[in-house]
Amino acid sequence: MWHRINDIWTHHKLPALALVMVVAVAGVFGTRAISQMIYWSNPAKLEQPLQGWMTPRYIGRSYDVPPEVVQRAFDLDSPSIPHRRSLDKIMAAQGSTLETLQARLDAAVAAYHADEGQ
Amino acid sequence: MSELVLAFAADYGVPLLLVVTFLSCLALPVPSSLLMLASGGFAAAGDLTLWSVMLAAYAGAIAGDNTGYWIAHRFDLRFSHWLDRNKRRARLRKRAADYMEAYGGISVFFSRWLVAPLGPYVNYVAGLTGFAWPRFALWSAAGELVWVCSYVGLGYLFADNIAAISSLLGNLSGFLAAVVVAGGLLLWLVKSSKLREMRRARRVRKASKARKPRKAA
Repeated sequence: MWHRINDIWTHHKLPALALVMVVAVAGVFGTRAISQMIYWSNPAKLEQPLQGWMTPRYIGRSYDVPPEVVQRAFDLDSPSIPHRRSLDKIMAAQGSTLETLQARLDAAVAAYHADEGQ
Repeated sequence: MSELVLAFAADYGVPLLLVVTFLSCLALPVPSSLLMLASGGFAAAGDLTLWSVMLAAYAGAIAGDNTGYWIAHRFDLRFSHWLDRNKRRARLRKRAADYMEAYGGISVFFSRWLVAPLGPYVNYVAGLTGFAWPRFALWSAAGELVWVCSYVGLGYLFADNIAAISSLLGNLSGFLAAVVVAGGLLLWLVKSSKLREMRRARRVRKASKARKPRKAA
């Protein structure tokens, strides 16, 4: 074993160093994957904050509410829920920010669940 | 880069997915896995249709794989004499060709989805070593089917939290790719060390044989 490592080290220093590095990279990816799996096994932590790329329909799906709830929360005045309109565009049109939209959505979702509970 | 591509996902939908999967098969650093997951999520929400998402991702991937293969193949035809002029380069290519001949199909298949980060490089190696194109195209088509169905499917199923599933899959596939590369490196290092040992032993035997008759005389 040792003489093999010694022989590899004397003849192939660079590939041996590369091997050590790739193993370290595997370790980093592996621990990150495992810690994420543990973290997300708790469903409470699965709630995903709003981001600019999301669409109203997608947000409805993600927050488990009908898309109409999202539409009302964001004051989207179109008669039907706009297809594939990203929050970036909605924010630009309304002059709103992710924080205000998040607050309005959270309130609307809470109200929806309260109604549902009754 | 991920942020930028995601920002365009809602506006350009299916065509963007086609372009991004195409480019990712040429080893360009575009977040194709993330976009497939997000498009699957959009399909689940009703913003895109599932079949068009699948079709676009699949078409982009197949076109990308074969483009990578043909670029490398063209390069090989044109620079073959340059590759063969240097002994080391020629030997490396010969070894790669032998490997592809033995395990090429299965390598193409698994590097489409299980160890996806290695996929584009396998395309280039396949083209460079003269790996038969029909064999390449067939294994690539089979592997990409698994890749597209699993990523779009996971995006559809786990639409609740695309960011979480994307980051987890990224780490898992990075881990698998690193393990495969490490395994290959280790195998090669040990094999070449054993080869050196054998050569050394042969030299010692030869030397002692050469000495013996002199002693007898």
